[in-house]
Amino acid sequence: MTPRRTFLVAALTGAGMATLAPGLLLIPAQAAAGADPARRFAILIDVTRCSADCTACVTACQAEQGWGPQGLGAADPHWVRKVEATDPTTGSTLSLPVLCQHCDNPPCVDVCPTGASFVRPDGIVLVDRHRCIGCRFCQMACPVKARSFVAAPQDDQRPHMPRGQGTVEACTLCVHRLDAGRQPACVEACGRDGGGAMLFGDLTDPDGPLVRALAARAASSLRADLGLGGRIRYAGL
Amino acid sequence: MAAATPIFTALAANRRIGGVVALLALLLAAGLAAAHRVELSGHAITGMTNHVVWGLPHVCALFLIVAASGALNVASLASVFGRVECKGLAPLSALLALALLVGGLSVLVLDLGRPDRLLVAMVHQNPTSIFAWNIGLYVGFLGLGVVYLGLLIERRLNRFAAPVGLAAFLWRLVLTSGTGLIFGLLIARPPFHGAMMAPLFIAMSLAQGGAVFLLVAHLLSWLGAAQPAPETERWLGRLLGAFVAIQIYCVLLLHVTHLYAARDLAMERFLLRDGGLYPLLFWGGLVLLAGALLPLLSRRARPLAGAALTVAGGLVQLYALLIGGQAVPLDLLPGRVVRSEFGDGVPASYLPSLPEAALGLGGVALALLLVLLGCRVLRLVPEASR
Amino acid sequence: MIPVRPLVGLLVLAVAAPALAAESGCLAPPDRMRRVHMDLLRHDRDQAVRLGVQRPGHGLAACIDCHARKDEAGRAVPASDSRHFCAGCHRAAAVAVDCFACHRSIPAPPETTP
Repeated sequence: MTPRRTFLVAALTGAGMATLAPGLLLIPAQAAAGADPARRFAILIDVTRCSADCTACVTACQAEQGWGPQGLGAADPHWVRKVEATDPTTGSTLSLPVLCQHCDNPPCVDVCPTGASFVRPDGIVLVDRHRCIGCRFCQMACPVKARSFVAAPQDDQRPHMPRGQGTVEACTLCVHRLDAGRQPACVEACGRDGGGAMLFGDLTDPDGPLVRALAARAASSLRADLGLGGRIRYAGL
Repeated sequence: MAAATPIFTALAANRRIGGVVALLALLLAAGLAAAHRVELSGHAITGMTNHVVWGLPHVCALFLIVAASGALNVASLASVFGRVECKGLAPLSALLALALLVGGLSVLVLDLGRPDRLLVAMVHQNPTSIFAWNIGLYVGFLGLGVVYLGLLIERRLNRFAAPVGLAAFLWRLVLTSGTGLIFGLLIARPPFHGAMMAPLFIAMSLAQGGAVFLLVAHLLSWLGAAQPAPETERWLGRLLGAFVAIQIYCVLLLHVTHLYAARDLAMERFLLRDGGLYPLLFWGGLVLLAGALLPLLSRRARPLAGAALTVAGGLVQLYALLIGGQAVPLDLLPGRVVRSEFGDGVPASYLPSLPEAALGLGGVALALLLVLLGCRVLRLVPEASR
Repeated sequence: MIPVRPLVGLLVLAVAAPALAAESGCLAPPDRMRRVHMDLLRHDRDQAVRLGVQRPGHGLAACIDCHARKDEAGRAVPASDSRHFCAGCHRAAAVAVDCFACHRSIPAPPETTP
């Protein structure tokens, strides 16, 4: 829209109305605040409290977001998965959930040709499915394979989580819950049905439980060597 | 000899052309049908997964795109490097470059999850994405190529061909670098990551593109165009031999540098020795490429056989690089052995499906159809001397 | 190039819309919604997805909840059914609806709504 037209529409429609595009009006009283750019949500996962036979986070994510195995093998979506990590010297084994790391420097966002992969003002890395053309370049770029391609038709999606064939998807950090002031489903389930290994919080809140927990124990992100600044931190690796 | 300005003509209709067009149209139809089926059923019916996210269609598409920029080489030799004997082949070279690029891009687009949203990719461009840059580079190459082709076949405008040819030549170097960097910029995937991908892809393009050009020129002479002069062909063959040698050098360099890094040893073992099909394809492709050097460079040169070996070796090598590189398990937690039901820590398996093969072949068919169409309606093949 | 007629129309609607809309529960009266629903949806989706601006009642789900059409058995019909609220016009106008490639086209069962 040209500035002139913006001005004209604004002048014609009068005060109290914002104009966004030709034929489109907004009533400011209904406008709500969006994602807060001052916040940086993160999850601290205490690997020592995550047991190999527990999949509470995975089950909760599937129920919350409406994805799950469709019998497609490696073409099935995996927003979060449990990984067993064995130290070859000692044979000791750890279990940890792997999900989108919501990197500070997300390679998926760098490579996405259309800007469908994007960082929300509050740092959450998302796929805008309206813009995703299904090229899968982000899947090539992700070092933890956090993204899945929807390889079959979908129906009965959750109303808050549209999912469709031909687009790429990943953990949203449950933005729909965060925007309603709740915690991600996996964190809630881990506390309720699991080992209470996951702690959700805001990295910019110096007195919050997350920052205090991070100050107390060494924790690192997956593939910290790549310098991507993942905001899913693992303690006890 | 060829120093005289060549006389160009359109390919006359004949039985052979009809037969070839019918065959290609059939392949194209099969490719389109395959793309339609994948669009309806989803990529689940292909062999591609969340591990091997780019499969056989991408091997074919990349081969075509890489060959496209290399196919322009003969025209560049004429307009930029002053090889007079290549002038007669220059228009075909430009047409072939355009056709191969259109064929390759069609495959890429039709394999998208949402090919109907191509317009989105045109409207929204992420400036940090090499993919988005490549869209501009491809479109620019097509534009430059069309103008260049026009200048080459319109006698009165021939004198402008040199500067545009130079622009197209420089553009294609950037374009092929961009194509290589689609892989080279992937920090997550050690088999691809690194600057080496750009020169490797340029070498590939010079070799595969030159080989495709020789094969297509021969196909056209079988269909009624003039045979390229044997001495020109032998010279192009020797040049092709040099390009193939550079490709082999780049491939070896890529792996030698990885082999020196302890971090990448497991990956190199997989790609070069333990990975089953992929080492087989890697070494097989390398043997084919090395084998191409003999007929290309020996005293009794047989450029056509060399070109065929180059195309075969290049395709096999590209498959080993692209699919093998994705089959390598990612290092999720360096120093640990990882396992999951998502296949972490184990090589990914990939078996191409029929629709993927059909789509890839459809792109090849489209490229060749465009070449034949161009040769039928435009005066761009040298007149056969009677 | 000032589109005078649409602007006059907009002016009238801007004054009348809030009052009319309040009655139906829609964001604007039907004749306006028919013309601009796609713009409203597109604008709100970009705001919601990319900026996290959630405005209750402005999302597609709210439209679906209200406008669901039911079959003989009392079940809501999906967008593939010609009786679906969106399908009627869109089929007549031969305009494909891309929304339901990802969004559900029928109201959600109550237990899945967070």
